[in-house]
Amino acid sequence: MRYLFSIIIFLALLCTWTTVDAHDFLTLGIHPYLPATELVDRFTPLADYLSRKTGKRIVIEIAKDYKDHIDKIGNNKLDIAFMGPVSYVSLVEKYGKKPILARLEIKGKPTFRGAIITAKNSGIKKLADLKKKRFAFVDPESTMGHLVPRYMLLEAGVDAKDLAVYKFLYNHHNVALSVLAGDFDAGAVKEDVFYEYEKRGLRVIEWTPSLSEHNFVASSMLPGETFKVLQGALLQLKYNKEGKAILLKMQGNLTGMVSASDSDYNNLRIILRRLKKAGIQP
Amino acid sequence: MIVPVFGYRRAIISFAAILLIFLGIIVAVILAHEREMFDAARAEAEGEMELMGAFVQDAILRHDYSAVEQFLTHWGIDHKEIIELKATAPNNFVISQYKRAEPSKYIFPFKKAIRYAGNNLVTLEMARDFSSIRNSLNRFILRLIAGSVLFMGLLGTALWYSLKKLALIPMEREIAIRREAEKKFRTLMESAPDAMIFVNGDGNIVLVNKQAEKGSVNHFV
Repeated sequence: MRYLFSIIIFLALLCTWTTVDAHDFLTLGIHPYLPATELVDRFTPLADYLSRKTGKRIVIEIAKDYKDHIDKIGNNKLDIAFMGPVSYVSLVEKYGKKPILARLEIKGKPTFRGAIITAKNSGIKKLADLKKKRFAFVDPESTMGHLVPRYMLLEAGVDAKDLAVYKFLYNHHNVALSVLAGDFDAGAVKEDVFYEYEKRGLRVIEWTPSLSEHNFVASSMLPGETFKVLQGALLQLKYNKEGKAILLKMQGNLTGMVSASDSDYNNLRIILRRLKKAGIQP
Repeated sequence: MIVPVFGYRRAIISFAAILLIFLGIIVAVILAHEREMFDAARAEAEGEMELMGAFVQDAILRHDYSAVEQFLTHWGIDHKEIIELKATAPNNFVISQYKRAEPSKYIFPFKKAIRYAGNNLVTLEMARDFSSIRNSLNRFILRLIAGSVLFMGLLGTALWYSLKKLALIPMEREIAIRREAEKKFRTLMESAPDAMIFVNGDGNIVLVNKQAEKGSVNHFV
């Protein structure tokens, strides 16, 4: 009996020790938008920086897919998660609000937009003119290459069945070039791709609304003090040389991180709800 | 005794003519070779167009225009003899255009329409630099002509000396001896006190001396 009691005590101590160890590091989850090795390479300087700021080791975890990523942060199995805007809205929809640490600022802007484009010499003036026309999307899950433009078409009274044909070309550049080459009458691309091809003969039929950029959210279980340290560290990145190098490594056009609130994603939320109603889900 | 070179003008002209004919044959052979080289280079370029066409056709059927852009640009960069490589859509939109910085004087254009199921997908145009072939042929022609002239010069000189030693010198010696004999005979004839008239077998006078010139022909008849 005395031995049994000792074993129970030992196991209890072991559990306590394991729990303490679990609090010695933080997990940074990233959705798999690039190959895992590439993501680890890009985010390691940021993880090292946050590790120094918090005094805790930061472990990078790449999710196997977007759903897995949403579920992990939704269930607080990650301490920090890098989220795409659509993933963030889906997360809140499914698991409720999570505290936002910061959102990305690309070329000085914390929002991004896309455009529904056509060739300069086409007769299409407004979205309603796209009925019976050929349309090129990027990818069913692409925010600016499908979801938002699809919402805009719906709002303009153009359903997919009203189009002569529509295809997913899985690349923003292919959409721009296919429209220019005359394979499609119109297409949907992100803003920087439109500007890249504008001089070669593209024009905008309508810009998409500006949506809030990618963000970092924290687990609801993260202690308030750690949250504050992490948020401060992220927001300070653009003000020092080391931070700028970290941002550059993460993404070439990333200029900083700014604070964000859940309401910044309201317009996207409305768009996704409208799409859901029409049976279109990311 | 000095024999003037002009005395052998015919031999020199003949020799020069042979040299020219020889050089003409060389140039003709080189030109034929040049045509073969250009034909081979053209066939190679057309083969490249076929290869590019196969890739481009597949990519355009998938609307993968960015792959076409990348592929043609890399192809142009990797092949230094390509001056320009262009892909144009049926609506005249230039999908991709690669241009080399350095120009060339020897440009050969190639054009190929890529079609599928009766539809024109894209037109590929390539300008290829053939100056490397032209330059190498020019260098080859110059070397060959220089070598031929040198060879013919040496051969001519050797032949000239051989001919001179074996035939011309003995002949000239013989002519000189005969001229000397004729001169002696004429001196003897002119110094003779009697009139002398030489008549050939037909009865025609062929030679008279001064004494004979002084007298009347009738006087002798």
